[in-house]
Amino acid sequence: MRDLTGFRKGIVRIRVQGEQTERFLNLCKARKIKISSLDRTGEQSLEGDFGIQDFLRLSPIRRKTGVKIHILEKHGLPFFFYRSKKRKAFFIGIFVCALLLLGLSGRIWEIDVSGNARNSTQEILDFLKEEGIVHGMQRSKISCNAIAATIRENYNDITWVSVRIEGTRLVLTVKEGVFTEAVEKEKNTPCNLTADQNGVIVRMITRAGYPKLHVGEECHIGDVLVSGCLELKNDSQEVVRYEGVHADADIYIKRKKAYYREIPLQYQSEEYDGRERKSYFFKTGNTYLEFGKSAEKNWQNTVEEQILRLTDSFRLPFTVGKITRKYYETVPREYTEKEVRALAWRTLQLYEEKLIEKGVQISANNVKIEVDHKTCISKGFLEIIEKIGRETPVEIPEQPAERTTEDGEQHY
Amino acid sequence: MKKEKERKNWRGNLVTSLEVPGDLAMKETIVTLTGRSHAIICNYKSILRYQQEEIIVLGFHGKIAIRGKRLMIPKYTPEEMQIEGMISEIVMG
Repeated sequence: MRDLTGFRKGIVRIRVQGEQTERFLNLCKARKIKISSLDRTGEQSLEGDFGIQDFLRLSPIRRKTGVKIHILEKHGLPFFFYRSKKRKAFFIGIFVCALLLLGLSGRIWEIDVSGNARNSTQEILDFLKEEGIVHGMQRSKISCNAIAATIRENYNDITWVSVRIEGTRLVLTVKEGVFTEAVEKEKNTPCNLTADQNGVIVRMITRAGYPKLHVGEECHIGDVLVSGCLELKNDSQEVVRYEGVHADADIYIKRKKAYYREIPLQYQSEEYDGRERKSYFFKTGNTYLEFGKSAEKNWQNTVEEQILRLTDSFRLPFTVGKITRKYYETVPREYTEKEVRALAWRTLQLYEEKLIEKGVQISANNVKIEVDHKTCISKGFLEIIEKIGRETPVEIPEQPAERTTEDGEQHY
Repeated sequence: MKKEKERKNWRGNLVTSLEVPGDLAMKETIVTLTGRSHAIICNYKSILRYQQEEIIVLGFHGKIAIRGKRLMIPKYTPEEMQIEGMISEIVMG
């Protein structure tokens, strides 16, 4: 019976002594009194757990069987409350805590936005703030349908919105659509492809438009690479009509990219001496309470924050955290030539990796690392192959006049 | 004697034909034994004897004696009785 129900209702452990203990048990059974942890402790004595209500019904059985009943232990909430009846602050605490929980559970403490890629979460949260949906507002004042409708109205690229309240969380799930119409419209606009870098063209695949420059030729910034203006000619190679197309091509150029990095040999190193301090903080709204020594110079801080929750969906507006501070001293150091060369080489490799991530090919590396008594200088250039081409508006010349022969036939 | 036998047969036939569980209709005592340390007795009438070495329970059709060491009753309700301890013997009388 020492389970949750027993704890809630209260249980009594008693000793029953007498000659008719078996009869006592049978009478208990007849009166539907439940006993748990029944144990024979002596020739004429039994011990067992009874519920409070059942214990109060034992009197006639005791009279009939002539046994003696001794209370050994009392457990459960009713006894606890009886013992604690003089501790008023304790009960006030429980009451205040219950009130607080009740009050907090009626408010929104977390707004969760998912499914958004083009519109950032902060942007949507700011929009909601403008609409009056903020952290800490009452749940009853929130209309999920109204929020969904407002978001759909204001964000054209959001095609589907679901707003629901889970405990103290407001969950927004959005789906952003791709508007092919706009893209297609953009694709149909005539334009040129213009060079945005200087270099030599190494590869060119033209899908639409007229290529002005060819592989092996040099291009400069602003040069039209592929023209979006097509000249339609007749058999006598005369232009009869100009037609604008959206130029489309993959153009790769080879060019030199300058590289320069300077690393001073002397640097400041942060060295930890093992001293560590821990402090804890409590945060709610704009209130911040820190227990322990506050921040000082030469102490590196690492902060771990934890939002308090009753359940996954019941977030409380309290945050607790731990700050670990490690003491360090700034010591002047100097790289050796080997170290600084390795560092410079690593920096160059990182730079190359970043370029490769952007889709740039590196065909040659002409960077030299030189070390003098003060600095290490990496300078030179990288030969890279990259895709270029910026869409620029195309100017379509005036259509040539139609020529008509004397007999009235039209010739192009 | 013959009459009583006939009456028992008649009741048995009725229980079989109505597909009523036998233990309910015939008030049979059920003893469920789990390993050597745990037993549950259902449909019993009363306890005749309870000692650490022996528990004798009166069923509707006779006695059941459970013998062993350090026998105790973790749960005692009007419907069932759980017995724990080192059970060595169960005798139906």
